[in-house]
Amino acid sequence: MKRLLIGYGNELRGDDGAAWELARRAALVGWKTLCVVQLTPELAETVSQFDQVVFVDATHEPGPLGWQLIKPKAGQEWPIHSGEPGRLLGLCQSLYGKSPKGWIMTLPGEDFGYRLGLSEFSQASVVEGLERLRKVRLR
Amino acid sequence: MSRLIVIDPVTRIEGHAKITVDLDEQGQVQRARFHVAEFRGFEKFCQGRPVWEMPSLTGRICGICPVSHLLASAKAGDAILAVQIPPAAEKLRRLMNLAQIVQSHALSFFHLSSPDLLLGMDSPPPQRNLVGLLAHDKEFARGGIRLRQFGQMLIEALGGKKIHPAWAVAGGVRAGLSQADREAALARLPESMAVAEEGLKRFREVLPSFQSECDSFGDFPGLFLGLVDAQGNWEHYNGQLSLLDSRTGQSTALDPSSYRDWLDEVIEDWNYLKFPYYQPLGYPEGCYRVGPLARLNVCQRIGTPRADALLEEMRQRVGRIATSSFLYHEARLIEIVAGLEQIERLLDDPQLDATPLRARASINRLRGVGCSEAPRGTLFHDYEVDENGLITRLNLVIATGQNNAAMNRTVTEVAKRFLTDPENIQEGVLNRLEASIRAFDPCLSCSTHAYGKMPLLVQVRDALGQVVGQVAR
Repeated sequence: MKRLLIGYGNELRGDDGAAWELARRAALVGWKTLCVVQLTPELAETVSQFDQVVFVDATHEPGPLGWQLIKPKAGQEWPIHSGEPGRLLGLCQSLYGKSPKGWIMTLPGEDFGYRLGLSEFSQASVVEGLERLRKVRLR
Repeated sequence: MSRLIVIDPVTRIEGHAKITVDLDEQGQVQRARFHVAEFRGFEKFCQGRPVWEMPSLTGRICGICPVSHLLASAKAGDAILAVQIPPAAEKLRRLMNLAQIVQSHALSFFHLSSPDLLLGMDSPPPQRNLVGLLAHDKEFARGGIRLRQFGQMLIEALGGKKIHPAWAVAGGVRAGLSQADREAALARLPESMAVAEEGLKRFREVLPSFQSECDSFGDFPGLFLGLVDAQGNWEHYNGQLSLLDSRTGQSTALDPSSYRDWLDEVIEDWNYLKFPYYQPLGYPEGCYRVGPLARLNVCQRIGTPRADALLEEMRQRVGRIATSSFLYHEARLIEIVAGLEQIERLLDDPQLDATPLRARASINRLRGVGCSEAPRGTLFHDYEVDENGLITRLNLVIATGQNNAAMNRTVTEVAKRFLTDPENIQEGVLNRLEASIRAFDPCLSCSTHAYGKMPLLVQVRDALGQVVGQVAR
């Protein structure tokens, strides 16, 4: 079973870099990972070569860590500055005839200002996200 | 009663803009304007920063063409240090600039403009995008995505990441190219070349069905500006500027480092985008076009066999100087071929592995100008520093700004040609207004140094300036 984790966000915007931090730490425990600023059509080729993919993104929405199955969205316009996981999976299907099963993990943050480094709140989200990855059984 | 039409936001471009169309009292198009509604202020807040930081700072102006700013900024830094960078460093910088031209042109043609060209200007908007193109021709869409990926891959191999690589520095570059990355790039070249040539073949096949667009998308005589080498050939990194007047066929050689002697800029109160012009001819007569079409017009030849053959075919068809801005698309595809050929030469060059990669010096001049060709046209970074190397003044002259007057003239031409019934504006008309801007591939994030989304608003205003019609996307 080939699985991939994609962390996306902007490390120059504080807690928006949480997904990159989680990806770096997940790589240490054996995950194949990618860190990108945003999801782009060029990722479809790589993603289509995996069986399972976990997308990780930060969110400013209050609430617990999010974990959700994603359905591929086919035939929808690709917004140049705001690609999202469902459209990427749809593009995999359209371009390469196959799409991995996908999940999105959202990491709550509180400070998305212009700065490097995560807030304590966001760091806790990353730890919780890693724990979720360890426990969850992807099927 | 006269009226105004507004297109806001303009879509499938890099940035945030709107188009307004003014109607006269008879309801006929009087003029159209392309407004850029963004502002960011790099020229102000970079004051006080060390010149060594400038490549990384100004690279953040844009996520599409950060390499262009990185290189022009590093060149301005070279001038302030008063160094000649090591030969391998120049080759590596050239390699990254070519990769940038390939990936940016691929984005412009395959992702943004080919849906209009292959599916039609009047095709339903939900299909007129990359995904619609994919449904129409999967192989073509996939090839375009992979071509852009190739350019990004090379940028990442050189700079460590695709976007905002902190790689070029005053005096040279930070790192070379590994043998493995070199071989990986060489292996991808044949496929990339095939995609680029197929794109050009398709463009030329559909071109006869776009005669109205070719005639009205900014087809006017005027000035073109671009870099050329010592023999007058296509150049993207160094050399002299050539200003060609299509009315006389005469070229004027200009020194990029003394651009302030011949280039001036006007600010209009309805636009954050500046209007640069050739000072001896005054404003607006001295306004000129830059970018792929201008570069192909000002050069004698490109200097690589495939691209030269393709350029010759274009010149046989439209004449020595192409004046229709619709042909920016064709020029872009020829430049992709040229870029791939030059990339191959550089990758085969054993000097690419030479060292050192950086000349080190302290501040030896208090002013430096860096000039190179960004995908969208000529780019100037002009810095003044104090004796400690802190920036005291900077001026950025961006390609999209230099095409500003031409884009405004173009939207007026298109509105007059296609907006024949202002009471009943068809979607295809709005799309042609957008597409005429898209032909220039403007990067508004760069040209206003502003944060960009990409929305489009078209507004129709009456003679009293009141908005009587509006379409937003």
